[in-house]
Amino acid sequence: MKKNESDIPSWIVWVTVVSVLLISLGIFIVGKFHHQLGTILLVIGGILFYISVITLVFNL
Amino acid sequence: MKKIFNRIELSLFLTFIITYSLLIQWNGWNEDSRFALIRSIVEDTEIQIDEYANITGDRSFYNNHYYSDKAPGQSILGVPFYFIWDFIHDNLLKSNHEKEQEYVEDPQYGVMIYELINPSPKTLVSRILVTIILSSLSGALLIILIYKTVKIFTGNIKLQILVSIIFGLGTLIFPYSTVLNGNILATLFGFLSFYIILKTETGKRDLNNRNYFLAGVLSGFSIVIDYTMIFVFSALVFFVLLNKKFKQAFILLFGCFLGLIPLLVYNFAIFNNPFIITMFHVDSVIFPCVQKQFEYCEKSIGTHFNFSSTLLMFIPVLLFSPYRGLLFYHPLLLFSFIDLYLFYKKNKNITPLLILLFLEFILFNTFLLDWWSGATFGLRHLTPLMPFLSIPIIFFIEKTKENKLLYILFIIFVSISIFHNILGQSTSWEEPIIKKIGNDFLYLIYWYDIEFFTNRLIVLNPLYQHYLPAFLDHGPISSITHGVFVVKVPDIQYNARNNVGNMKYYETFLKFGSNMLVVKSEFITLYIILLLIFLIWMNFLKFDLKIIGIIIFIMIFVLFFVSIKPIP
Repeated sequence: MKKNESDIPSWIVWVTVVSVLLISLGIFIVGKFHHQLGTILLVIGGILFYISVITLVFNL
Repeated sequence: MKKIFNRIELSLFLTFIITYSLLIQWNGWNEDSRFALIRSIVEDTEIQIDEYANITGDRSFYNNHYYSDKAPGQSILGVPFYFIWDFIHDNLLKSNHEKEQEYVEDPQYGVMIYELINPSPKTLVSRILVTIILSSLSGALLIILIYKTVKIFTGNIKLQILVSIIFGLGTLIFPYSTVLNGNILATLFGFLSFYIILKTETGKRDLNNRNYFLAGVLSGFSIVIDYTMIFVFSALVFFVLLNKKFKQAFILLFGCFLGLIPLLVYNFAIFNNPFIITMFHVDSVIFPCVQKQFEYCEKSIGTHFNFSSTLLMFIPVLLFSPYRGLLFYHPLLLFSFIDLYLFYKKNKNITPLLILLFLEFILFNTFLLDWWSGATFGLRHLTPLMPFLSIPIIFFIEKTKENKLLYILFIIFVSISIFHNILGQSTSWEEPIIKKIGNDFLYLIYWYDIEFFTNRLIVLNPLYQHYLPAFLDHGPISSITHGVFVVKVPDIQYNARNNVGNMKYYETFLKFGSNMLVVKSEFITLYIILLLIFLIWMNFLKFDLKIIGIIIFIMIFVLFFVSIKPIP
């Protein structure tokens, strides 16, 4: 067993972080500028977030 | 990290996603408020809900705009799915002959709220979609997490499955996996954070800070979905500190901050201040602070809380009252509390976390002005506690197997808890009923409104006075199965759902001369759910048991659900 081995692969952590940031940016753009780019970011961020959560639940 | 799905986990998942999805419902303001934010973001590219504000009382008002008064997380996660459905509908399915929408008036103090009577097929499908993805799916995933958590404490597979099923059917997880109000989604995220930390701390491997960071992010986002999840996060920090992992506690806090960013940005976009939430600005025209508190609470957090030490006397009411008392509705949880002391002997670190969580949530609910939380089933704010309470139960079951009397008592309490949840699926959750009389729609005042301002609320017994008669009349009802039988897009709103119970049988295409075969509607939902669960778990049974099971289901269907009626 390697030292500092984690059950959680780093890609899940990255996907989660990126999705949270995309969601935040999306809300900011929708809330402040009413631009559809914000909605698109929320769609991408939301789907990525769901993927990471479902992967975690089934595979951790 | 495993790469394949475990068969038991998959069976549990299918069992609960099907059960919860078939029983989904739409109770009103709470769901409408969350759905309004989803629609505003997708259709109007804004976070104000001005366009839909007159159909929900759960709204905030600030700077001449209306906003959802709910935490935005659930609506944010609903955006992708509504966006896809909106795109498919508007480009491929849109009809030019959509009916004009009709509303019924619902006066609230000095303002009128409108209840949509005939939602368009697009709205009907949207409600089903968001409720199943955001609540039923979350509930089913939560059961998988409970199963995995139990696995950490016991190698007994039967016990792992038993505890998961008991908690999936006999606690607040069941009702709140059938409605879109944030509790179950937030609970999933909060419990997932706990599970990651628990697995890391109980594992044989060296601690990895990445796990704590991820747990923090998920925990932070759970607060974006439901503000009360701050209690779960604080208990997690307490748990990590108790284990003397100071660096990890800091990483957890950092992750939480990252998870909270969507909420801070949302608040900033509305108030130019990341720390003001929409709940602080609930529309005072609709919530004038229930009589005497009006003076001080009109525009403050006081709208929601009443801090008084005398209210501590109210805790037994929250636990034992027939009006939504936690242990009255779900008495199996009593065994979680009974076993806490014995659990403490085995695990000195987790018990303080459970006690802290319980105290936080029960005190929060005590100080809530509307402690009953509107027209709901049981005390919905205590839902996040449920998966945590599954842990002490494991040791209780293992220990009491030899004490037959106690074990029988446990089985009785589990059965009562599950029965109460089934009762809750038989009619509306104390909502007023809308009836059409002549050409007019009328609100028929119902349970919730009759006793709203009276002190008699706590002695009422909705389970046996409101739900039981409906259950005895037609059993649990499912708008989804009803829609399949009558070949119509299902309407899951509470009024349409109540009408489902009035239908006595479904016609089929099988005709014999002047007669036809019909399927009786009473208890058909319960039968269908049990049949589907049997089919999911059939592979785990021996061949002879499979055959006996199939024969029993066929016999029940032929004897109790099939009938011949003259063609109308």
